[in-house]
Amino acid sequence: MELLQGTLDLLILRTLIFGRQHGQGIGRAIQQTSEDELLIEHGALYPALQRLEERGWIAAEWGSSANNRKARFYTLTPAGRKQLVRETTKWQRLSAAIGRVLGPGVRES
Amino acid sequence: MGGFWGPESGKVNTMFRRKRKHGDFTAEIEAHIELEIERLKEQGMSEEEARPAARRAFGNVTLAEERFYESHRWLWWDHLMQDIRYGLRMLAKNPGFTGVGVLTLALGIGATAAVFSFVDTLYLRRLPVRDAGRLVDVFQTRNGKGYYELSYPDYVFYRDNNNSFSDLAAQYPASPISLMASNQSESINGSVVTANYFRVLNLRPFWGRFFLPEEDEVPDKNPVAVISYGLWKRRFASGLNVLGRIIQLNGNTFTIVGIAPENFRGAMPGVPETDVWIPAAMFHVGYRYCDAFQRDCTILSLIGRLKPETALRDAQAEMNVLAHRLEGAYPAIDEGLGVIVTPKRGVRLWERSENGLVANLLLAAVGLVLLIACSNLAGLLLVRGMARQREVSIRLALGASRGRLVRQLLTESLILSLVGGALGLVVATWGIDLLAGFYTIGEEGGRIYVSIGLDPVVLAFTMALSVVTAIAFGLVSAPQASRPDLVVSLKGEVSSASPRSSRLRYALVSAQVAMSIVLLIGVGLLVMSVRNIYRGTGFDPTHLVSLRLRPSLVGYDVLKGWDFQQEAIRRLEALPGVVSASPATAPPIPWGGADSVWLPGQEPSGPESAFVVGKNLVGPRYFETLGVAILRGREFNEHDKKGTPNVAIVNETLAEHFWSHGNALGKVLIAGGIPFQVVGVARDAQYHTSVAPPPAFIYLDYWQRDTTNGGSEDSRTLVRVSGSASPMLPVLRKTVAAVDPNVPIQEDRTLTEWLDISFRTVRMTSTFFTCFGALALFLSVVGLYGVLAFTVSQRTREFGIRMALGAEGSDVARMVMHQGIRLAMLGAAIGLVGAFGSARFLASYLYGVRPNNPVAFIAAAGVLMATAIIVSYIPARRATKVDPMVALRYE
Repeated sequence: MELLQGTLDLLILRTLIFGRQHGQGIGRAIQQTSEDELLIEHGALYPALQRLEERGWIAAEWGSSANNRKARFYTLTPAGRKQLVRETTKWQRLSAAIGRVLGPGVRES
Repeated sequence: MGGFWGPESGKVNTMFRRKRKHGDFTAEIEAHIELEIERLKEQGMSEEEARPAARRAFGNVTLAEERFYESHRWLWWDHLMQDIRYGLRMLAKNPGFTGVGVLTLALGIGATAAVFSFVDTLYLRRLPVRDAGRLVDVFQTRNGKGYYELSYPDYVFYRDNNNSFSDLAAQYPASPISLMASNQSESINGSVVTANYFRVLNLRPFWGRFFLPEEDEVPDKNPVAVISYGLWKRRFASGLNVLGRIIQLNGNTFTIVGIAPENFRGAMPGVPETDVWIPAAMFHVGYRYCDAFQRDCTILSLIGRLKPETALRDAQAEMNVLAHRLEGAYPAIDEGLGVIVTPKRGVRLWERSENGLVANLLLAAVGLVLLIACSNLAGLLLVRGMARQREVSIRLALGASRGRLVRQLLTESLILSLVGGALGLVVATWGIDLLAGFYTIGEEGGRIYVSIGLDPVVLAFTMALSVVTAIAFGLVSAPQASRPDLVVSLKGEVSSASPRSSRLRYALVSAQVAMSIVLLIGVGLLVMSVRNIYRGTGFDPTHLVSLRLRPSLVGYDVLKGWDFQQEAIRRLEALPGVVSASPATAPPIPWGGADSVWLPGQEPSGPESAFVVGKNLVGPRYFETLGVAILRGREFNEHDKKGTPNVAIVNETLAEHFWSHGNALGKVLIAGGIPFQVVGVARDAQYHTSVAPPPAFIYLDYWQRDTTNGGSEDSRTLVRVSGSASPMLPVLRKTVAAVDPNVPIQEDRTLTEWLDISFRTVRMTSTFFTCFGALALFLSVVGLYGVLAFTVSQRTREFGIRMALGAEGSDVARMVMHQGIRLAMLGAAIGLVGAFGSARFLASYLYGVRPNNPVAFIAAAGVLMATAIIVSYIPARRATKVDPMVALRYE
């Protein structure tokens, strides 16, 4: 399933709420938690991370991974946390609204 | 879902963060792929399978990198840096082009900046005091017109009743003061000021103190003085004992209480610099022509400091109301009274009209020079654009966008003109020095206070001008250069100039020639005028000296004053080397008095029908001294004195006006209500502009004048010497001082200097036009040469073929020269027509020459065509050197 425009940022922030993570880990986490429903082209991840970092929602530093590989680790900043809450609320309201419009089930006839 | 444009704090934060290196980003991607391989291997893939899989999952690495790069906020900066580096390299590679370009711009921009500094001085510059932006001038208007000074009582009324100003001060800034200190007298300029003057100006004394309010309350009670830093250095050798020193100002004892700050020269630019300030309560020392404390004696200029919360408009509105109240209270004196409040900028308002005209003329002239410089640059860039076609084509073929290319070319012209502008500042300082030189001495002597010079405004103007010129000439040439024929130029052929760009270059050259000729004609007219001024009509200024003797300043009464003058003249005439001497009330250049004259029984009914003529009161041998011919009758002599019949001498124009056949001798003429018998007719004074007819003029006898009302006017004594004038000045001064050392001698100068000062604007206009004309000629000649040289190089093959087919070298040379002359003639024709239409703007600066004087037109055209021919000859000669064999093998 393709990602909706703008949702990748939200998913990244959401993933980072569990603690610091590197880019590859973020990609994998999103894929796993969505039970492989959401396929992310890994290449798209990095410009998004860059964008979030520039806005000050995440911070980055180089560190070592579990099996001792160099990687750039991202953490959520307080501003990012606020942004996550704001955007999650918005998303939930939006999806609820769309859900109401679509109704309880549309069958193919 | 625009919410991701996040909190402001985050944005600001990143502004200061160091930008992330590209390499860092690449490393991160590498790390990602390694991690992904690891994960895949954990899931059981082999290394060889895992790597491509990881890559596939990642997608396009280059795309990600590029996206990172493009999102980079400093991209434009990188481009700019690239453009600048590239531009500098290109300019360095073509030192000839760069040199000519920078020089052209430096001259154009520098000349313009110099003229602008003049405009800035006249209209914009503020006083060098703290917070000068809140200072305003306050003047009176009559029936909504003019700028008039105010009387002291009116000033007090405004001062005490307004709510707009934190303080309102008054000054009389041009008071001639005879300073006597250490037994040496000297004429200086003084300012009579209210005690709050220095507070309004926000000044602190360099040393000592300024006036106390109580020192400015009772008339004639507190003779205290503040002196200028310059006077302190000059007259008191920067002595430490100067405070409390006693000096004589116009014969009155004063005590020095303070020294003004070093850069403060008075609060009225345009009048002589102030060397001494005295409180308004001592007005009787500084002003004598009316009682400064009376309501009908309007001599004060007001300076106000607006309260921080008051806008200029509100101050004006309040002052209007106050003026209306004054008008109601004193209808006889203050009828039609109004007030005008203007920001305190530039020079005294009535200094502006005359100088403003000059400024406009110079601006117009320098504008032409700048246009010539710009079109020259545009021409140069066009030529270079042709030479660079190949380079541009390669860049276009490699995928550079046209916008980027134009930006690159504009960056180059910008660099060129910024360098030119910087160098232009050097040119500007020369120009400014030249300009300031015309304003050193005022008519009454003393340095005029005008701070013509570079200031931040002028610097900003020069910067802006550089940018504007860069865009101007860059835009003309850049689109042409960025649109080459790719196929042709990539093949390595320099395509011959496209007809469009050739036409543009020819048009630019002709325009330059046209503008130059307009300027050159102006130069011719002005140079002739200046020569006419110094030549006079039988009036040789080189052997004449004038001295202003002012016994009245030190309290002489009329009779004592006359005795002094007569004795001084007797001793002067007895000096070896002196031919003759004569007193006069006004200097010989006719801006003296004026009076209404009529024939007996024909008294005019009112001021409208009055015939007003110029007037001067002169002594015996005045005309002999001056060297102006008496055409009929005689001049005044020793027998004309008080008690003998009143006599007058009229000039030709006046004689013609009343007695059309030139038969004026013996006739009676009423001047100012008193009958005079005409005993002589003098030649017209020749100092009138080409627009004004010679003024009618009457000379009355200095020793016969009416002294019943007191009014001992001091004289300007005119002395003719046999040798050269300036070495005689000290001797003459000493001779007069021997009669009474206390009597101030002012305006002691040769007639040449008088003419220099009186005709300052004409000389200045002439000097600058000459500079600008030379500049214009030089620039347009460079332009012409450039175009011809380029044409020759373009047509090398053609010339080669022609010569191979039997054409002589001279035929080819003739072709080139014809082209040059054709371009110059076209420009000259346009220029002559333009000058014919615009020369009349110079009319008020022309003396003894009409604006459409054919000599000026022919001379200008001649000079220009001669130069054009010479300049065309150089490339033409080069064309004859073309070797047909080489030329044919050339491409």
